[in-house]
This record gives sequence, structure tokens and C-alpha cells, in this order.
Amino acid sequence: MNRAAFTFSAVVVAILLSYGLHEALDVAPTEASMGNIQRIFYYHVPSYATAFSMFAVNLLASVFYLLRRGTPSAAAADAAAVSAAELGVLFCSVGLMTGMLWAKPVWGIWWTWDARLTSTFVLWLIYVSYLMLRRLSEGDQAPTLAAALAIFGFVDVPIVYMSIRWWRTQHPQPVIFGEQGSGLDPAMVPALLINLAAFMCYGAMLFWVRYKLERARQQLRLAQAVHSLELARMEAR
Amino acid sequence: MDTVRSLQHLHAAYILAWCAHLGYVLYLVRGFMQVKREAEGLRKS
Repeated sequence: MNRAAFTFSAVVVAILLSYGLHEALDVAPTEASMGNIQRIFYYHVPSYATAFSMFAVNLLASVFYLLRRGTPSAAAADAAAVSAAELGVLFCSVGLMTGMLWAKPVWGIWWTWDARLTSTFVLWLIYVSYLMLRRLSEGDQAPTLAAALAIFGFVDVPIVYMSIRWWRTQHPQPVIFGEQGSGLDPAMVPALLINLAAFMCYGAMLFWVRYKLERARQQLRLAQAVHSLELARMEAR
Repeated sequence: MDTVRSLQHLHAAYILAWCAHLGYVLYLVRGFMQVKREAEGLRKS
């Protein structure tokens, strides 16, 4: 992506996010029982949707890495995996934070260990562990171990999604793809859809930038290794 | 319905969400600057 295309994408994403914010705070109707605090929904749900998409990209890139280990495309897959995991943790953190700020006025508590919240917290911990493994371990085995962890870690994503269907939870039952009569008020749908699209585009743009950074780091590490070898060879002569 | 506290939580959620995203963008910018600095150092040596 060249500079002009990136600038154009950034402008489109900024417009989408601004429009989404306007829809969420000004246009969407006020929910009857909760009041204006329900407007957190328009950031809470898109944050998790983007996080889950990033974890899915991380899974695909990790599988690709394990299948193509030792080939030039493996390094690109590894860069995609770590970029997606980092963004997944960012969006999941925003989801957890907005959820707690929503819970306190509505439930009277910041947090409860119900199935949805606990499985989401475990998901967050799994991917934070993934990033710590990447950051703190040295050697060629780190990307392989991280890829294996990513595959097992993704198992928690469907558990988080289905938790409010499988178990009785403090967290509300699904309003999207839920049972009959549980749907969202039609007047609230545009604000949700616009914010979903805005967050997905914003996430994709951040992913591309983070991927470019990781590729630049890989190339720098390679250049540093070659430089060190040349120095060692010159000293040996 | 709305209380002062619930509106504070609504505003805090939106502001904190954008602080987190802005922080991440700054982290990315710092990452690119660090790579550039190290690449220049390598080229000089």
C-alpha cells in the first residue's frame, strides 16, 4: 500500500468512526430501561467483534506458519500472527473496560465471575500470554511455540460467543442472532452496523500498519545478524 | 434511567476507549522510529 492509498484509507476510516460516534451518541434512540448508559453498546460490541476477527486472523496465520515453516512465506505469516494477536488484545481490553463501565451503573458491580465474563477474561489472558511468550523468549522455537498456543487459545473464542446461550449468566442474553423476540430495536441497528463497519476498517488499517512494522523488524534483525557474521569473519582473518 | 454517575460512566467509556487506541497508535509510531534509528546505526557501522 503506497502513501496516497494509506492516507485515503485513513481519511475514510476517520470519517466512518466520526459518523459512528455521532450515530451512537446523538442519533440512536435512548433505551427505555437503562437510559443513555446503554450507548456503550455501540463501542462494546464492535470492539469484541474486531477482537474476535483479529484472533481468527491470528489462528489462520499460525496454522499457515506451522505448515510452511522454513519457507520465506513463514516469516510473513509469523508477522501477521503477532500483529493480529496484539490488536486482538487491544480491542478485547477495550471491550472488557467498556463492559465494566457499563456493568457498574446497571448491575451495581464492576465485575462478576459469570460464564461470559470469565471466559472473556480467560481469552484475554491467553493472548496476553501469547504476546509475553513472543516478547520474552529467545531463539527460533518462540514463533513455533506461540503458533501452537494460538491454535489452542482460539478454542476459547467460540466458548465466549456461546457462553450466554449455553449457561444462565448475569450478562444479558444475545440481542444479535438470539432467540425470537430478543432482537435489537430496529432504530438502533444503523448505529450498531456503522460502528461495526468503522471498527472493522479501523482494525484492518491498524493491522496493516502493525504488520509493516513487524516485517521491518524482521528485516532489521536479519541485517543485524548478517552484519555480526561479517564482523566475526573479519576478526577471524 | 439516567443518573449523573451513569452519564459519567458513558463518557468515561468513550474517552478511555479512544485513549487506549491513541496510546496504541503512539506505540506504533515509536516502533517505526526505533526501527529507523537502528537501521541508520547499522548502516553507519
